[in-house]
Amino acid sequence: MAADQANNRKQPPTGSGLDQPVTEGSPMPMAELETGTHIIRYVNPAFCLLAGKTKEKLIGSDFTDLTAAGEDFLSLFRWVCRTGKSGTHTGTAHSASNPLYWSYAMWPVFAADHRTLGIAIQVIETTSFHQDATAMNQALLLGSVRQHELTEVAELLATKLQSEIVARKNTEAALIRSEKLASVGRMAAVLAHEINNPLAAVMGIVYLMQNTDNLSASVAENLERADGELKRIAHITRQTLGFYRESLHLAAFYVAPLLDSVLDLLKSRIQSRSAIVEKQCDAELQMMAMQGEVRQVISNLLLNSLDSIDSAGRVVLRASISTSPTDRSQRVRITVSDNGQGIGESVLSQIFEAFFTTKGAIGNGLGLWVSKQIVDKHGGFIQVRTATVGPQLGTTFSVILPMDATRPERIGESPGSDHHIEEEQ
Amino acid sequence: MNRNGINPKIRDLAQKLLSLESPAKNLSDANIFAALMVSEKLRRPLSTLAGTAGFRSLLMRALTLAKREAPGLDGVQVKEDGSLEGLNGEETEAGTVLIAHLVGLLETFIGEPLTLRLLNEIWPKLSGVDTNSEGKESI
Repeated sequence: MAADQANNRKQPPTGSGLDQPVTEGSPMPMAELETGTHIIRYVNPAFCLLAGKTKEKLIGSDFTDLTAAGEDFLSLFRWVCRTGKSGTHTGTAHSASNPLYWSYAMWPVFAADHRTLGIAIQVIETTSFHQDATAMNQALLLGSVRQHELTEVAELLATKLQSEIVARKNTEAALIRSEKLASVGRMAAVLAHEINNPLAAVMGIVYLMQNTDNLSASVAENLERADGELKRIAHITRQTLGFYRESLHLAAFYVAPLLDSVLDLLKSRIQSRSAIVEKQCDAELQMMAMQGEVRQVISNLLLNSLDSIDSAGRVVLRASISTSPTDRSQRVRITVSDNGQGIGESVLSQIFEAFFTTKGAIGNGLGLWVSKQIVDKHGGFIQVRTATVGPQLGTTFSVILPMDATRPERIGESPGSDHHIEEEQ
Repeated sequence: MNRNGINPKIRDLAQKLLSLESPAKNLSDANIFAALMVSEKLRRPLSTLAGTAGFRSLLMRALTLAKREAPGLDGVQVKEDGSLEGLNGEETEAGTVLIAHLVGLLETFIGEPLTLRLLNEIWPKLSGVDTNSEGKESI
Protein backbone atom coordinates (compact mmCIF):
# COMPACT_ATOMS: atom_id res chain seq x y z
CA MET A 1 0.00 0.00 0.00
CA ALA A 2 2.86 2.35 0.84
CA ALA A 3 4.42 1.45 -2.52
CA ASP A 4 1.16 2.35 -4.29
CA GLN A 5 1.13 5.75 -2.60
CA ALA A 6 4.74 6.35 -3.66
CA ASN A 7 3.87 5.41 -7.26
CA ASN A 8 0.82 7.66 -7.20
CA ARG A 9 3.02 10.57 -6.19
CA LYS A 10 5.11 10.11 -9.30
CA GLN A 11 2.04 10.35 -11.53
CA PRO A 12 1.80 13.97 -12.69
CA PRO A 13 -1.69 15.14 -11.86
CA THR A 14 -3.53 16.95 -14.54
CA GLY A 15 -6.35 19.40 -14.83
CA SER A 16 -5.20 22.48 -12.92
CA GLY A 17 -8.03 24.81 -12.12
CA LEU A 18 -5.79 27.87 -12.28
CA ASP A 19 -5.90 30.10 -15.30
CA GLN A 20 -2.47 29.23 -16.62
CA PRO A 21 -2.11 32.01 -19.19
CA VAL A 22 -2.33 34.35 -16.22
CA THR A 23 -0.26 32.42 -13.69
CA GLU A 24 2.55 31.48 -16.06
CA GLY A 25 3.55 35.10 -16.53
CA SER A 26 3.13 36.10 -12.89
CA PRO A 27 6.28 37.17 -11.02
CA MET A 28 4.67 35.84 -7.81
CA PRO A 29 5.40 32.14 -7.10
CA MET A 30 2.19 30.12 -7.41
CA ALA A 31 1.28 26.45 -7.04
CA GLU A 32 -1.80 24.29 -6.96
CA LEU A 33 -2.13 21.26 -4.68
CA GLU A 34 -4.50 18.33 -4.64
CA THR A 35 -7.16 18.60 -1.97
CA GLY A 36 -6.42 16.29 0.94
CA THR A 37 -3.04 15.01 -0.21
CA HIS A 38 -1.19 18.30 -0.83
CA ILE A 39 0.49 16.79 -3.86
CA ILE A 40 1.67 19.50 -6.26
CA ARG A 41 -0.31 19.46 -9.51
CA TYR A 42 0.84 22.76 -10.91
CA VAL A 43 3.63 25.29 -10.34
CA ASN A 44 4.41 28.45 -12.31
CA PRO A 45 7.97 29.42 -13.42
CA ALA A 46 8.32 31.91 -10.53
CA PHE A 47 7.66 29.08 -8.06
CA CYS A 48 10.31 26.89 -9.76
CA LEU A 49 12.76 29.77 -9.41
CA LEU A 50 11.95 30.12 -5.70
CA ALA A 51 12.20 26.36 -5.04
CA GLY A 52 15.30 25.96 -7.21
CA LYS A 53 13.76 22.94 -8.95
CA THR A 54 12.32 22.22 -12.37
CA LYS A 55 8.60 22.00 -12.96
CA GLU A 56 8.98 18.28 -13.76
CA LYS A 57 10.61 17.59 -10.37
CA LEU A 58 8.07 19.59 -8.44
CA ILE A 59 4.84 18.35 -10.00
CA GLY A 60 3.72 15.13 -8.39
CA SER A 61 5.81 15.66 -5.24
CA ASP A 62 4.43 16.38 -1.78
CA PHE A 63 4.38 20.09 -0.98
CA THR A 64 5.28 19.35 2.67
CA ASP A 65 8.67 18.07 1.49
CA LEU A 66 9.58 21.67 0.76
CA THR A 67 11.63 23.25 3.52
CA ALA A 68 9.25 25.77 4.95
CA ALA A 69 6.04 23.74 4.83
CA GLY A 70 5.67 22.72 8.47
CA GLU A 71 2.82 22.12 10.90
CA ASP A 72 1.52 25.67 10.44
CA PHE A 73 1.18 25.05 6.72
CA LEU A 74 -0.70 21.80 7.26
CA SER A 75 -3.08 23.46 9.75
CA LEU A 76 -3.91 26.18 7.23
CA PHE A 77 -4.22 23.66 4.38
CA ARG A 78 -6.69 21.52 6.32
CA TRP A 79 -8.64 24.60 7.40
CA VAL A 80 -8.92 25.87 3.77
CA CYS A 81 -9.99 22.38 2.56
CA ARG A 82 -12.56 22.11 5.35
CA THR A 83 -14.09 25.59 5.21
CA GLY A 84 -13.59 26.55 1.57
CA LYS A 85 -12.29 29.94 2.76
CA SER A 86 -9.00 31.69 2.04
CA GLY A 87 -6.23 32.36 4.55
CA THR A 88 -2.76 33.83 4.85
CA HIS A 89 0.18 32.88 6.99
CA THR A 90 3.80 33.70 7.67
CA GLY A 91 5.65 30.44 7.91
CA THR A 92 8.97 29.79 9.62
CA ALA A 93 11.34 26.89 9.38
CA HIS A 94 13.10 27.06 12.73
CA SER A 95 15.10 23.92 12.16
CA ALA A 96 17.21 25.66 9.53
CA SER A 97 20.54 27.14 10.59
CA ASN A 98 19.28 30.47 9.28
CA PRO A 99 15.54 30.71 9.97
CA LEU A 100 13.56 30.75 6.73
CA TYR A 101 10.53 33.01 6.54
CA TRP A 102 7.85 32.94 3.88
CA SER A 103 4.42 34.47 3.73
CA TYR A 104 1.74 32.98 1.51
CA ALA A 105 -1.92 33.09 0.67
CA MET A 106 -3.98 29.92 0.19
CA TRP A 107 -7.41 29.54 -1.32
CA PRO A 108 -9.60 26.82 -2.88
CA VAL A 109 -9.92 26.57 -6.65
CA PHE A 110 -13.51 25.77 -7.65
CA ALA A 111 -14.88 24.17 -10.80
CA ALA A 112 -17.95 25.58 -12.54
CA ASP A 113 -20.12 23.16 -10.55
CA HIS A 114 -18.57 24.43 -7.28
CA ARG A 115 -16.58 21.28 -6.88
CA THR A 116 -13.16 21.92 -5.30
CA LEU A 117 -10.49 21.23 -7.91
CA GLY A 118 -7.51 21.95 -5.73
CA ILE A 119 -5.87 24.40 -3.36
CA ALA A 120 -3.94 27.33 -4.80
CA ILE A 121 -0.93 28.82 -3.05
CA GLN A 122 0.71 32.14 -3.82
CA VAL A 123 3.92 33.14 -2.09
CA ILE A 124 3.47 36.81 -1.33
CA GLU A 125 6.65 37.65 0.53
CA THR A 126 10.19 36.55 -0.09
CA THR A 127 12.57 35.41 2.60
CA SER A 128 15.02 38.30 2.21
CA PHE A 129 12.24 40.88 2.40
CA HIS A 130 10.91 39.35 5.58
CA GLN A 131 14.36 39.22 7.11
CA ASP A 132 14.82 42.91 6.37
CA ALA A 133 11.46 43.71 7.93
CA THR A 134 12.25 41.58 10.98
CA ALA A 135 15.62 43.28 11.36
CA MET A 136 13.93 46.67 11.22
CA ASN A 137 11.25 45.62 13.70
CA GLN A 138 13.92 44.23 15.98
CA ALA A 139 15.92 47.47 15.86
CA LEU A 140 12.78 49.51 16.50
CA LEU A 141 11.77 47.30 19.43
CA LEU A 142 15.25 47.43 20.97
CA GLY A 143 15.21 51.21 20.56
CA SER A 144 11.78 51.48 22.12
CA VAL A 145 12.77 49.38 25.13
CA ARG A 146 15.91 51.48 25.59
CA GLN A 147 13.85 54.66 25.33
CA HIS A 148 11.42 53.27 27.91
CA GLU A 149 14.32 52.67 30.30
CA LEU A 150 15.82 56.10 29.70
CA THR A 151 12.47 57.83 30.16
CA GLU A 152 12.11 56.16 33.52
CA VAL A 153 15.60 57.29 34.56
CA ALA A 154 14.83 60.83 33.34
CA GLU A 155 11.57 60.90 35.32
CA LEU A 156 13.39 59.68 38.41
CA LEU A 157 16.04 62.38 38.04
CA ALA A 158 13.37 65.03 37.43
CA THR A 159 11.57 64.01 40.63
CA LYS A 160 14.84 64.10 42.57
CA LEU A 161 15.69 67.49 41.09
CA GLN A 162 12.23 68.78 41.96
CA SER A 163 12.55 67.72 45.59
CA GLU A 164 16.03 69.26 45.77
CA ILE A 165 14.65 72.52 44.38
CA VAL A 166 11.87 72.47 46.99
CA ALA A 167 14.38 71.73 49.77
CA ARG A 168 16.65 74.54 48.57
CA LYS A 169 13.73 76.96 48.38
CA ASN A 170 12.71 76.00 51.92
CA THR A 171 16.25 76.58 53.14
CA GLU A 172 16.40 79.93 51.35
CA ALA A 173 13.05 80.90 52.86
CA ALA A 174 14.31 79.82 56.29
CA LEU A 175 17.45 81.89 55.86
CA ILE A 176 15.43 84.90 54.74
CA ARG A 177 13.14 84.56 57.77
CA SER A 178 16.13 84.05 60.01
CA GLU A 179 17.72 87.19 58.54
CA LYS A 180 14.44 89.04 59.10
CA LEU A 181 14.45 87.91 62.71
CA ALA A 182 18.04 89.09 63.03
CA SER A 183 17.00 92.43 61.52
CA VAL A 184 14.21 92.68 64.06
CA GLY A 185 16.77 91.94 66.77
CA ARG A 186 19.05 94.67 65.49
CA MET A 187 16.14 97.11 65.32
CA ALA A 188 15.13 96.20 68.88
CA ALA A 189 18.69 96.84 69.98
CA VAL A 190 18.71 100.24 68.28
CA LEU A 191 15.35 101.11 69.85
CA ALA A 192 16.54 99.97 73.26
CA HIS A 193 19.65 102.09 72.87
CA GLU A 194 17.62 105.14 71.83
CA ILE A 195 15.16 104.63 74.69
CA ASN A 196 18.00 104.32 77.20
CA ASN A 197 19.11 107.97 76.95
CA PRO A 198 15.76 109.70 77.63
CA LEU A 199 15.00 106.97 80.16
CA ALA A 200 18.15 107.83 82.11
CA ALA A 201 17.09 111.47 82.07
CA VAL A 202 13.57 110.66 83.35
CA MET A 203 14.96 108.41 86.06
CA GLY A 204 17.29 111.23 87.10
CA ILE A 205 14.37 113.64 87.32
CA VAL A 206 12.34 111.17 89.39
CA TYR A 207 15.33 110.73 91.69
CA LEU A 208 15.59 114.51 92.14
CA MET A 209 11.85 114.76 92.83
CA GLN A 210 12.04 111.95 95.38
CA ASN A 211 14.70 113.91 97.22
CA THR A 212 12.67 117.09 97.31
CA ASP A 213 11.66 118.23 100.78
CA ASN A 214 8.11 118.27 102.08
CA LEU A 215 6.65 115.67 99.70
CA SER A 216 3.24 114.46 100.62
CA ALA A 217 2.98 110.77 101.38
CA SER A 218 0.82 110.09 98.31
CA VAL A 219 3.26 111.90 95.94
CA ALA A 220 6.19 110.04 97.49
CA GLU A 221 4.33 106.77 97.00
CA ASN A 222 3.54 107.61 93.35
CA LEU A 223 7.14 108.59 92.71
CA GLU A 224 8.25 105.32 94.29
CA ARG A 225 5.90 103.47 91.99
CA ALA A 226 7.05 105.44 88.92
CA ASP A 227 10.67 104.73 89.85
CA GLY A 228 9.92 101.03 90.08
CA GLU A 229 8.29 100.95 86.63
CA LEU A 230 11.12 103.00 85.11
CA LYS A 231 13.63 100.53 86.55
CA ARG A 232 11.64 97.74 84.94
CA ILE A 233 11.84 99.50 81.55
CA ALA A 234 15.56 100.01 82.08
CA HIS A 235 15.94 96.31 82.87
CA ILE A 236 14.09 95.32 79.69
CA THR A 237 16.15 97.63 77.49
CA ARG A 238 19.40 96.46 79.06
CA GLN A 239 18.36 92.89 78.48
CA THR A 240 17.36 93.54 74.87
CA LEU A 241 20.55 95.41 74.18
CA GLY A 242 22.54 92.83 76.09
CA PHE A 243 21.17 89.94 74.01
CA TYR A 244 22.23 91.62 70.82
CA ARG A 245 25.69 92.58 72.01
CA GLU A 246 26.29 89.18 73.61
CA SER A 247 25.48 87.48 70.32
CA LEU A 248 28.35 89.13 68.53
CA HIS A 249 31.37 87.90 70.51
CA LEU A 250 32.65 84.83 72.28
CA ALA A 251 33.10 85.51 75.95
CA ALA A 252 33.66 83.62 79.18
CA PHE A 253 30.65 83.68 81.49
CA TYR A 254 29.12 81.89 84.44
CA VAL A 255 26.33 79.54 83.44
CA ALA A 256 24.20 79.85 86.60
CA PRO A 257 23.43 83.59 86.12
CA LEU A 258 22.64 82.83 82.49
CA LEU A 259 20.05 80.28 83.57
CA ASP A 260 18.69 82.81 86.08
CA SER A 261 18.32 85.42 83.36
CA VAL A 262 16.35 82.97 81.19
CA LEU A 263 14.07 82.11 84.13
CA ASP A 264 13.65 85.82 84.80
CA LEU A 265 12.80 86.49 81.17
CA LEU A 266 10.17 83.76 81.13
CA LYS A 267 8.88 84.43 84.63
CA SER A 268 5.43 85.52 83.50
CA ARG A 269 5.07 82.46 81.25
CA ILE A 270 6.14 80.16 84.10
CA GLN A 271 3.63 81.80 86.40
CA SER A 272 0.79 81.61 83.90
CA ARG A 273 1.40 77.85 83.50
CA SER A 274 1.77 77.40 87.29
CA ALA A 275 4.85 75.43 86.38
CA ILE A 276 7.38 74.17 88.89
CA VAL A 277 10.80 74.98 87.45
CA GLU A 278 13.85 73.67 89.24
CA LYS A 279 17.33 74.96 88.46
CA GLN A 280 20.35 72.77 89.14
CA CYS A 281 23.71 74.34 88.40
CA ASP A 282 27.08 74.72 90.09
CA ALA A 283 27.55 78.42 90.77
CA GLU A 284 31.20 78.19 89.62
CA LEU A 285 30.47 76.57 86.26
CA GLN A 286 31.92 78.71 83.45
CA MET A 287 32.13 78.37 79.72
CA MET A 288 33.38 80.29 76.69
CA ALA A 289 30.66 80.86 74.06
CA MET A 290 28.37 83.48 72.57
CA GLN A 291 26.33 84.14 75.67
CA GLY A 292 23.29 85.62 73.96
CA GLU A 293 23.00 82.69 71.59
CA VAL A 294 23.32 80.12 74.37
CA ARG A 295 20.64 82.04 76.23
CA GLN A 296 18.43 81.90 73.12
CA VAL A 297 18.84 78.11 72.88
CA ILE A 298 17.95 77.56 76.56
CA SER A 299 15.06 80.00 76.23
CA ASN A 300 13.68 78.14 73.17
CA LEU A 301 13.93 74.75 74.91
CA LEU A 302 12.34 76.05 78.11
CA LEU A 303 9.50 77.65 76.14
CA ASN A 304 8.82 74.32 74.41
CA SER A 305 8.78 72.52 77.76
CA LEU A 306 6.36 75.05 79.22
CA ASP A 307 4.09 74.54 76.20
CA SER A 308 4.14 70.77 76.54
CA ILE A 309 3.38 70.40 80.26
CA ASP A 310 -0.02 70.44 81.88
CA SER A 311 -0.86 73.05 84.46
CA ALA A 312 1.45 72.63 87.48
CA GLY A 313 3.80 70.49 85.44
CA ARG A 314 7.47 70.21 86.29
CA VAL A 315 10.55 71.37 84.37
CA VAL A 316 14.16 70.81 85.45
CA LEU A 317 16.86 73.08 84.07
CA ARG A 318 20.28 71.61 84.73
CA ALA A 319 23.84 72.47 83.71
CA SER A 320 26.92 70.41 84.49
CA ILE A 321 30.37 69.49 83.27
CA SER A 322 30.73 66.32 81.25
CA THR A 323 33.70 64.60 79.64
CA SER A 324 33.94 63.45 76.04
CA PRO A 325 34.22 59.66 75.87
CA THR A 326 36.40 59.98 72.79
CA ASP A 327 39.05 62.63 73.54
CA ARG A 328 38.35 63.21 77.27
CA SER A 329 37.83 66.93 76.59
CA GLN A 330 35.56 68.81 78.97
CA ARG A 331 32.23 70.12 77.85
CA VAL A 332 29.09 71.64 79.26
CA ARG A 333 25.84 69.72 79.24
CA ILE A 334 22.69 71.79 79.63
CA THR A 335 19.46 69.79 79.92
CA VAL A 336 15.86 70.88 79.92
CA SER A 337 13.59 68.05 81.16
CA ASP A 338 9.85 68.13 81.47
CA ASN A 339 7.09 65.71 82.41
CA GLY A 340 4.91 66.90 79.54
CA GLN A 341 3.16 64.89 76.84
CA GLY A 342 6.32 63.84 75.00
CA ILE A 343 6.96 63.97 71.26
CA GLY A 344 5.11 61.51 69.04
CA GLU A 345 7.01 59.10 66.81
CA SER A 346 5.48 60.56 63.65
CA VAL A 347 6.93 64.03 64.22
CA LEU A 348 10.13 63.21 66.08
CA SER A 349 12.30 63.04 62.97
CA GLN A 350 11.09 66.46 61.80
CA ILE A 351 11.46 68.59 64.92
CA PHE A 352 14.72 70.19 63.80
CA GLU A 353 13.37 71.12 60.35
CA ALA A 354 12.72 74.77 59.61
CA PHE A 355 9.04 75.78 59.82
CA PHE A 356 7.99 72.50 61.33
CA THR A 357 5.70 73.12 64.29
CA THR A 358 3.12 71.23 66.30
CA LYS A 359 1.80 74.43 67.85
CA GLY A 360 -0.42 75.46 64.96
CA ALA A 361 -0.77 79.16 64.27
CA ILE A 362 1.06 80.21 67.43
CA GLY A 363 4.32 78.48 66.49
CA ASN A 364 6.69 79.64 63.77
CA GLY A 365 8.61 76.36 63.56
CA LEU A 366 11.96 78.08 63.91
CA GLY A 367 12.83 77.60 67.60
CA LEU A 368 14.50 74.20 67.41
CA TRP A 369 15.86 74.85 63.92
CA VAL A 370 17.56 78.07 65.09
CA SER A 371 18.75 76.31 68.27
CA LYS A 372 20.34 73.57 66.20
CA GLN A 373 22.08 76.14 63.98
CA ILE A 374 23.48 77.87 67.05
CA VAL A 375 24.65 74.64 68.66
CA ASP A 376 26.18 73.52 65.35
CA LYS A 377 28.01 76.83 65.09
CA HIS A 378 29.49 76.26 68.52
CA GLY A 379 30.63 72.78 67.51
CA GLY A 380 28.16 71.04 69.80
CA PHE A 381 25.18 68.77 69.41
CA ILE A 382 21.68 68.20 70.78
CA GLN A 383 20.26 64.97 72.17
CA VAL A 384 16.53 64.29 72.56
CA ARG A 385 15.00 61.63 74.76
CA THR A 386 11.23 61.40 74.82
CA ALA A 387 8.40 59.12 75.92
CA THR A 388 4.70 59.55 75.21
CA VAL A 389 3.54 56.93 77.73
CA GLY A 390 4.84 55.23 80.84
CA PRO A 391 6.66 56.37 83.95
CA GLN A 392 9.31 58.27 81.93
CA LEU A 393 6.63 60.39 80.26
CA GLY A 394 8.06 63.66 78.99
CA THR A 395 10.98 65.02 77.05
CA THR A 396 14.61 65.82 77.82
CA PHE A 397 16.65 68.00 75.49
CA SER A 398 20.38 67.92 76.20
CA VAL A 399 22.63 70.53 74.66
CA ILE A 400 26.28 69.52 74.74
CA LEU A 401 28.70 72.36 74.03
CA PRO A 402 32.48 72.57 74.17
CA MET A 403 33.58 74.28 77.36
CA ASP A 404 35.66 76.58 75.16
CA ALA A 405 33.97 77.36 71.84
CA THR A 406 37.13 79.07 70.57
CA ARG A 407 38.25 75.51 69.81
CA PRO A 408 35.91 74.91 66.93
CA GLU A 409 36.35 71.15 66.43
CA ARG A 410 33.07 69.27 66.48
CA ILE A 411 32.38 67.23 69.59
CA GLY A 412 29.52 65.12 68.17
CA GLU A 413 28.97 61.68 69.66
CA SER A 414 29.66 60.10 66.32
CA PRO A 415 31.11 61.49 63.07
CA GLY A 416 28.53 63.32 61.01
CA SER A 417 25.92 63.27 63.78
CA ASP A 418 24.81 66.65 65.05
CA HIS A 419 21.71 65.60 66.89
CA HIS A 420 20.65 62.36 68.41
CA ILE A 421 17.09 61.24 68.97
CA GLU A 422 15.91 58.55 71.30
CA GLU A 423 12.34 57.58 71.84
CA GLU A 424 10.85 55.59 74.66
CA GLN A 425 7.34 54.24 74.62
CA MET B 1 0.85 52.02 30.93
CA ASN B 2 1.76 53.88 34.01
CA ARG B 3 5.45 53.31 34.73
CA ASN B 4 4.77 53.21 38.44
CA GLY B 5 2.19 50.41 38.24
CA ILE B 6 0.01 48.28 36.04
CA ASN B 7 -3.01 49.75 34.30
CA PRO B 8 -6.04 47.85 35.73
CA LYS B 9 -7.32 47.19 32.18
CA ILE B 10 -4.02 45.59 31.22
CA ARG B 11 -4.00 43.55 34.42
CA ASP B 12 -7.49 42.25 33.60
CA LEU B 13 -6.34 41.32 30.12
CA ALA B 14 -3.29 39.52 31.55
CA GLN B 15 -5.53 37.59 33.93
CA LYS B 16 -7.77 36.56 31.02
CA LEU B 17 -4.75 35.26 29.11
CA LEU B 18 -3.57 33.34 32.17
CA SER B 19 -7.01 31.84 32.72
CA LEU B 20 -6.99 30.61 29.10
CA GLU B 21 -3.69 28.83 29.76
CA SER B 22 -4.44 27.58 33.29
CA PRO B 23 -4.46 23.82 33.68
CA ALA B 24 -7.83 22.25 34.40
CA LYS B 25 -6.75 21.13 37.87
CA ASN B 26 -6.51 23.90 40.41
CA LEU B 27 -2.80 23.55 41.10
CA SER B 28 -0.98 25.82 43.55
CA ASP B 29 1.44 26.95 40.84
CA ALA B 30 -1.21 27.28 38.12
CA ASN B 31 -0.59 31.00 37.76
CA ILE B 32 3.12 30.50 37.14
CA PHE B 33 2.51 27.64 34.71
CA ALA B 34 0.01 29.75 32.80
CA ALA B 35 2.43 32.70 32.70
CA LEU B 36 5.07 30.44 31.17
CA MET B 37 2.62 29.26 28.55
CA VAL B 38 1.50 32.79 27.67
CA SER B 39 5.09 33.95 27.38
CA GLU B 40 5.95 30.98 25.15
CA LYS B 41 2.93 31.54 22.91
CA LEU B 42 3.87 35.19 22.50
CA ARG B 43 7.50 34.33 21.84
CA ARG B 44 6.97 32.52 18.55
CA PRO B 45 5.05 35.23 16.59
CA LEU B 46 6.89 38.12 18.18
CA SER B 47 10.27 36.56 17.45
CA THR B 48 9.11 36.06 13.88
CA LEU B 49 8.01 39.66 13.55
CA ALA B 50 10.70 41.44 15.56
CA GLY B 51 13.54 38.94 15.95
CA THR B 52 14.64 36.89 18.93
CA ALA B 53 16.69 39.79 20.31
CA GLY B 54 13.69 42.09 20.00
CA PHE B 55 11.40 39.78 21.95
CA ARG B 56 14.10 39.01 24.52
CA SER B 57 14.66 42.72 25.12
CA LEU B 58 10.90 43.24 25.57
CA LEU B 59 10.58 40.34 28.01
CA MET B 60 13.63 41.45 29.99
CA ARG B 61 12.19 44.94 30.39
CA ALA B 62 8.85 43.48 31.50
CA LEU B 63 10.68 41.26 33.99
CA THR B 64 12.63 44.24 35.38
CA LEU B 65 9.40 46.16 35.97
CA ALA B 66 7.62 43.11 37.40
CA LYS B 67 10.42 42.31 39.86
CA ARG B 68 9.75 45.62 41.63
CA GLU B 69 6.22 44.51 42.44
CA ALA B 70 6.79 40.79 42.83
CA PRO B 71 10.01 39.96 44.70
CA GLY B 72 9.29 36.30 44.03
CA LEU B 73 10.55 36.91 40.49
CA ASP B 74 14.07 37.73 41.68
CA GLY B 75 15.51 34.42 40.55
CA VAL B 76 13.84 34.51 37.14
CA GLN B 77 15.97 35.08 34.03
CA VAL B 78 15.39 35.39 30.31
CA LYS B 79 17.42 32.93 28.26
CA GLU B 80 19.15 33.76 24.97
CA ASP B 81 16.26 32.38 22.94
CA GLY B 82 13.74 34.55 24.82
CA SER B 83 12.31 31.81 27.04
CA LEU B 84 11.99 32.13 30.80
CA GLU B 85 13.87 30.13 33.41
CA GLY B 86 13.69 30.09 37.20
CA LEU B 87 9.98 30.79 37.38
CA ASN B 88 8.42 28.83 40.20
CA GLY B 89 5.14 28.85 42.03
CA GLU B 90 6.18 30.57 45.26
CA GLU B 91 4.33 33.77 44.57
CA THR B 92 0.88 33.42 43.06
CA GLU B 93 0.54 36.98 41.73
CA ALA B 94 3.99 37.02 40.11
CA GLY B 95 2.79 35.48 36.85
CA THR B 96 -0.01 38.01 36.43
CA VAL B 97 2.34 40.90 37.13
CA LEU B 98 4.91 39.69 34.61
CA ILE B 99 2.40 39.10 31.81
CA ALA B 100 0.64 42.39 32.54
CA HIS B 101 3.93 44.26 32.13
CA LEU B 102 4.71 42.34 28.94
CA VAL B 103 1.33 43.17 27.40
CA GLY B 104 1.55 46.73 28.73
CA LEU B 105 4.89 47.29 27.01
CA LEU B 106 3.52 45.88 23.77
CA GLU B 107 0.60 48.28 24.00
CA THR B 108 3.01 51.16 24.63
CA PHE B 109 5.24 50.29 21.67
CA ILE B 110 2.86 49.11 18.97
CA GLY B 111 -0.48 50.48 20.16
CA GLU B 112 -3.62 48.91 21.56
CA PRO B 113 -5.29 47.81 18.28
CA LEU B 114 -2.24 45.94 17.00
CA THR B 115 -1.56 44.40 20.41
CA LEU B 116 -5.11 43.12 20.73
CA ARG B 117 -5.10 41.83 17.16
CA LEU B 118 -1.94 39.88 17.88
CA LEU B 119 -3.40 38.46 21.09
CA ASN B 120 -6.65 37.52 19.36
CA GLU B 121 -4.73 35.65 16.68
CA ILE B 122 -2.91 33.62 19.32
CA TRP B 123 -5.93 33.20 21.60
CA PRO B 124 -9.08 33.23 19.41
CA LYS B 125 -11.11 32.49 22.57
CA LEU B 126 -10.08 35.82 24.06
CA SER B 127 -13.50 37.40 24.26
CA GLY B 128 -14.88 40.71 25.45
CA VAL B 129 -12.01 42.62 23.95
CA ASP B 130 -12.70 45.09 21.16
CA THR B 131 -9.71 45.01 18.88
CA ASN B 132 -11.01 47.76 16.60
CA SER B 133 -9.21 45.98 13.78
CA GLU B 134 -10.50 45.17 10.32
CA GLY B 135 -11.97 41.71 9.75
CA LYS B 136 -9.27 39.26 8.82
CA GLU B 137 -9.31 35.56 8.25
CA SER B 138 -7.39 33.73 10.90
CA ILE B 139 -6.18 30.20 11.17
